[in-house]
Amino acid sequence: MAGQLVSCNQRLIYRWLTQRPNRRRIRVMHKVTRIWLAYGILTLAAIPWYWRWIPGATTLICGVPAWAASAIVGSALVSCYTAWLLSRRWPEELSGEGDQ
Amino acid sequence: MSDQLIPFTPAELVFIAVYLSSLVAIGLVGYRARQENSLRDFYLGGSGIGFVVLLLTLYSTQYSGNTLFGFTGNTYRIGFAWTVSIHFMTSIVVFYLLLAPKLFRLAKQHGFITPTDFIEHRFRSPALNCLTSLLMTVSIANFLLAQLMAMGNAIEGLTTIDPERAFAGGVIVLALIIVVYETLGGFRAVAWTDVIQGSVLLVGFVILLVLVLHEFGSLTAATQIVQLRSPEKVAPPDWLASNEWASYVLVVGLGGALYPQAIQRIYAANSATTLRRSLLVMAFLPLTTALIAIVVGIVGLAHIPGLDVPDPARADTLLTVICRRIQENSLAGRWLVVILFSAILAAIMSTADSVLLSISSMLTKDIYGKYMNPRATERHLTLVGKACSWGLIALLAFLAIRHREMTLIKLLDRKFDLLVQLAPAFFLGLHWPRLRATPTLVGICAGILVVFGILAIDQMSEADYSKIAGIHPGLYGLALNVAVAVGWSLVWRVTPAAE
Repeated sequence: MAGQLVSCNQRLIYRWLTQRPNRRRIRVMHKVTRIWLAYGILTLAAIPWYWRWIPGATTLICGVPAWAASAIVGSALVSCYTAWLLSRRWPEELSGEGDQ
Repeated sequence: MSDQLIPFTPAELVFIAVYLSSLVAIGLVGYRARQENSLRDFYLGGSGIGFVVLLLTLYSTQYSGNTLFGFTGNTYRIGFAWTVSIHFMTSIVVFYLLLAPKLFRLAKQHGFITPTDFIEHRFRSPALNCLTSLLMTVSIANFLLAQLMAMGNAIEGLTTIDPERAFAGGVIVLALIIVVYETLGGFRAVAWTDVIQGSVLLVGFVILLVLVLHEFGSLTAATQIVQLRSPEKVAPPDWLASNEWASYVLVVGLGGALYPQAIQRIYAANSATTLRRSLLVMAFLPLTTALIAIVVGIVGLAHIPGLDVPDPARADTLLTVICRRIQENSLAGRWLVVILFSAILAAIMSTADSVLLSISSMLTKDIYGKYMNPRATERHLTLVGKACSWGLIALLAFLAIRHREMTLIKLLDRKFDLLVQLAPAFFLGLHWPRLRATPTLVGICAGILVVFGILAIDQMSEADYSKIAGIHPGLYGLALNVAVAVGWSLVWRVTPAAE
């Protein structure tokens, strides 16, 4: 039972991550809750508020304390996610009305 | 330990002079490339700019002299906590996702030139137009003044002549170069010079990283020294610092996306594809520029101790001290510092020229053209815009020379506190049709009052209230601003047509 639940969750997560939004979703990007939910989670992860309670927060990784390394990785993930969103066409391009 | 560079030799000064002359030459090319004598041609470069020019002009406008001096200095003062700078510079591009696509389409459809054109199109409220232009002008005029002072400081350390004369000379000569190429080629000249300046800046950051690691050793060794000497600068942030982190991400993200010069670059893109691709690359640039500034700050903190004692503001001279050390070591080091100095000038000048053009466009089109001389022709307005640039730069250069000891750090911080008050008008105005003009106007006024109220308490009190619980005053103002604008718009009974 538990195994089935995990598998079901994995399928849902996989679908959530791989589903390409259709044109309607692109048009109303500011209204797509999951985009801004993803930003919220990434921001919460990138701000190192929780490292006070984690032992080894100042262990060095490539010359940077672990908490700062996690903040840099968090910012990098925000950059990658933003670039991924920007890699898809805007409705302005689909309709051609934005281009001259 | 001197915080002045070794004065440049005549050959090195000639290199800098050739670099600066090339900017004026580009202004001349921009003048010849003009298509018509119109505001759109002068302030947005006519039919628009392509991917490389847009990317480099966005980059060099977004990253100013403050990134080089301020970010390295602040890392020196507070240590790894300044990693927040990578996060907040990235957040500017995130907020562009909400702003750029729709604003770009509207700009092309309705021929927007200044940010206020959108406000006029959306709200049709002269009072809101005036307030928007005024708020944007005041916010970035400080920024321009700071860039002029940075120009004076940069030149001051290069020559053997009297520092006051060198400062004044630096301000006047560099301001003159900016205003000349801007008058000649307008936005086209500014964007094309930004291509050179952005490239020099990118190369400068890489050279800086290589030189610092070669001169002082690895980052790991530096962090270990800092860990022993000042463990608090390596420790994770407490709750107050975490609040401040989140506050920076919001205030700089929203405020940076609302820079008028950045909004005008959204208008100037020649297509939505160009704009989208430029922003895509911009999303990764904080990982190069801000991260390098942090590495330089930490290495400096480890190997050049005591720079911020007794005056913490002196940490901002870290880059100059590092350059001096590199200059002293070899001839190759001297020439690399010359290139690095060109990058510093590029960072300062590219921001200053964009801000100057943006202020000039708002004063000319939104104030003079609308309220003082509504019948003026495009040709006349363009001429007034050029005169406005000369008058403004003369006034600010005079202020920079006259008050060279004035500290602008707090005023610079305030620019974001003020700019974010325009967030409801732009972000909600674009996406929420029920937002009304009067509630938006009252909301902005309420937000500004909160910001100045908190700042007044901070001035009068001995305790530090510049941030309450780590949150910028601008965000407290924005909370009230949004509450008024949204709440009032929701209960608004008058039909849109009546309004």
